[in-house]
Amino acid sequence: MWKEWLGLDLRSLGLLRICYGFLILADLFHRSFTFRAHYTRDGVMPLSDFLVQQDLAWRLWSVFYASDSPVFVAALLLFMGLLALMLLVGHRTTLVTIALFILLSSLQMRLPYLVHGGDNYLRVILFWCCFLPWGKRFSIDSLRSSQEPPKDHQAPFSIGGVGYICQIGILYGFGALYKVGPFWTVEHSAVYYALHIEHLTLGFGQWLVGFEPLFRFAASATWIFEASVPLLLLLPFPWVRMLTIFGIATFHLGLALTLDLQLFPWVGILTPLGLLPALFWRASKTKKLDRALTEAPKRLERFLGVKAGLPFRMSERYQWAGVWFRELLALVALVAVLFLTVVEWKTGAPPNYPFLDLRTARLHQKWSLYAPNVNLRSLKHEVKGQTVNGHTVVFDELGERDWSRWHYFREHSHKNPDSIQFQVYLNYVVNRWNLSNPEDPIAFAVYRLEFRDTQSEFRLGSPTSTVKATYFR
Amino acid sequence: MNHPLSQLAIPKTGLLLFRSSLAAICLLDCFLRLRDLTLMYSDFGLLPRSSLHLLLSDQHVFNPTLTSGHPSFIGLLLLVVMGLALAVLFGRDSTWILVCLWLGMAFIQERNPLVNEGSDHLLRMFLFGSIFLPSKPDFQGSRYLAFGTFGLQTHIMFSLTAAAVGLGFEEPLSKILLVFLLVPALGLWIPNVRRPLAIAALVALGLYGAYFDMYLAAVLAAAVLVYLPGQGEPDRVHCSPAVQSILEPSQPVTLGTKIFSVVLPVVLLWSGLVMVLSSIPQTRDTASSFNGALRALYLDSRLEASQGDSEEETSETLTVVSGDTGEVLLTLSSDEGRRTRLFLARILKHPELLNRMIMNVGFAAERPGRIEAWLETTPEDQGASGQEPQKLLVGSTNVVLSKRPHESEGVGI
Repeated sequence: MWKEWLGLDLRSLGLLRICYGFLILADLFHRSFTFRAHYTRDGVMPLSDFLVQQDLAWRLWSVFYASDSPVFVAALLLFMGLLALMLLVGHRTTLVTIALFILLSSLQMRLPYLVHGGDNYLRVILFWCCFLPWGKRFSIDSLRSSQEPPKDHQAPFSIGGVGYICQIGILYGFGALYKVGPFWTVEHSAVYYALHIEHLTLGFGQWLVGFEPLFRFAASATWIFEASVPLLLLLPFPWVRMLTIFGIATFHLGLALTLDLQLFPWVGILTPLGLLPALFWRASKTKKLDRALTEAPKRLERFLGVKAGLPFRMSERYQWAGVWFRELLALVALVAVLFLTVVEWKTGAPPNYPFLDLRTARLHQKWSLYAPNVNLRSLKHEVKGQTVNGHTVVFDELGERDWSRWHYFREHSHKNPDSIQFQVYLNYVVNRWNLSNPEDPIAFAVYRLEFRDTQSEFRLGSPTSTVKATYFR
Repeated sequence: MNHPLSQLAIPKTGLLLFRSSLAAICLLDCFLRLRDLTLMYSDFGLLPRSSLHLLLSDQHVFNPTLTSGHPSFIGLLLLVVMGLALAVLFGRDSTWILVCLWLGMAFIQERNPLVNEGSDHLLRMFLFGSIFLPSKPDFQGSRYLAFGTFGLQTHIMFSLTAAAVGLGFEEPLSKILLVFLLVPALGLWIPNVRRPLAIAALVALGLYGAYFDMYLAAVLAAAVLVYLPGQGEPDRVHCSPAVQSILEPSQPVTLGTKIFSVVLPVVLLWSGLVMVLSSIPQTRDTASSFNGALRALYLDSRLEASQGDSEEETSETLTVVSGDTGEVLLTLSSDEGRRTRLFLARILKHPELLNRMIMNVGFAAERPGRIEAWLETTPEDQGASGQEPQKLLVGSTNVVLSKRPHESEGVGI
């Protein structure tokens, strides 16, 4: 019975691993374009300025705090890329997953102002995957394994597996629980407003803005869907689970087509793949996929002409201790995540238990997607300066929407009224200009922000403009 | 083996004594550092990570001890390093354990470079050198010959020379020690006089420790122990594969071994030369420019810090007080120990680091408002000179206690 209810298929987990390998590689590739500006001493926040902030400095950890030299940051990013490749091909999978969780958490903590929901989701799922046997199929490890995979391809029961299922449920369940504002429950205008966040809305989303009745339905449907996902995932019927996964994928595809949420929709689409039941792998096309993915590691080895070493295995004498430790750790993490997420939802503030600190474990989460209301912050950033010779300079990185992570940096700045990021950003762009144009440095620069607040009943507020930071030579 | 090179072989007993002594010094060093864990090595102390990054802003240094600023994290690392030192002390001297011990010591020392002395650099250079010597189970003869042994002996020669030259030529004791350290430094290469010269060097180092720098003397003595041969064993020299390939060119040798054989002596020679240059005041600047490249690899060495970074004729006390209430938040006196004296002398040269330190003390004590630092200088022989202690305001800052909301959590959309 538990197999239908909480069971995980080894082939689905293998597929999830491959997708996560690609995702992490894509994420690193995307970050690499701005790595110098975001993570090094030549960038927007050198560690000597970043770590001086009281709360961040004392409580959290990151391997990227070890150095902000561009050489070492580039080396660490390359190392992460190598680990992501190893995850993709399934070489020393468990060790690599743990290392990637630590390094990815570290990378996100290096400059938390760049972090968005997709990063958080990727990170917490990667944590649960540390407990999952996702290297048992479609991997180089499986070629070296002395154990035959079980006939029914079912992964043995583990608390980590339960944690993985619960984590997906938490995202949607709490997403619905937080949506209690009138935009979701009375007016049903939340989707309408979401598509009016101009710097996030894509072309298809802007085209949809004309269909007002659609938005009322979409808001209600989103809430009902999110609320029902946790229940649907736990029902012991393979068809229901497959349809739920399809529904989740469709939902996130909709987000990807209408809003620029970067990694979030793709993590959302790929994460439930590990839940695909055995039924999925019985279709003729998926059988072909199974065969192709099983053959891939062998082909890779033949292509490279090398044979990988044996994966790390604990001595048989101590294996029981390893299993107990792993299960106990997963149980503690699962109970802590469930308990503290509920407490935060009930009280509205992050719980503060010194011995149960999810932030240090990098498992703290608050899935208030566009909740309780959609904060309409159609932001327009204008950073302009004047040089000593009287030339006006408009700094180029601040278009209304760009594909880098800069707009999350600015979003976070806007959330916190006392934010130092505006000034830090202004100083950064001005210093960069001054370094490349020493003969005509900036004499005066200003960071201006234009935004609109949310009204009600499908109405938009009028634009307001404020000066957030200034620079004088 | 009658090849002339065999005279450079290191006796097994000396090697074991050398490693055990280094491990014992590491153990003691870590234990002493544990006492100042929060004050010197954490974000709650005098040099938070932000200040250290400011200090290192023009250097390419990677230090994993900066991963977290919590005292328990550094405490855990210190305990791990102590565990490794214990393992070496009890004969578990595999290459990996030695690599971890070397890196562990280097990382911990560099967590607070303001308290480092020349002996710290020397200790980690000897630890680095010991990686390339054979482990206990590999030993097949009574003496061992490798590029590592050559590099180590060269480094010992440079270290003794640097220690001798650094003493100067003014005091009579310095002149005697100069002779007693320089003669063994050069003479230890001659096989027949090694034992008496090693004993002479140990006596000189005893004096050096008693009058100048105990820690540096202990590290140097540990190195000199390498020359003490065991007695009653038949003399049989065991060569490393790289040396074997030189003595018998027909022997196969891997490319890695060849590269390693060249790189190691070059690094140790370079480092040793830089150390000697840094001990002479006139060439100190040249030495520091050479040291930059080695620093990223934790292979820089200098002995000048032990001799003259701080003024020992005066006693200095730094007091951090709340400007509003007059409450004393921290008192730091140069009489508290050698490292505190060094720290005080060095931080007073960096006004920005000093201001950050004052601010951090205010944060840690949760005292908002104006925080001031006063330096009281008292001559050691105050009674004889009749000079009054001087009190100076050396820094002040305004502390605002505002715990920023943690912005990384939740969905950023």
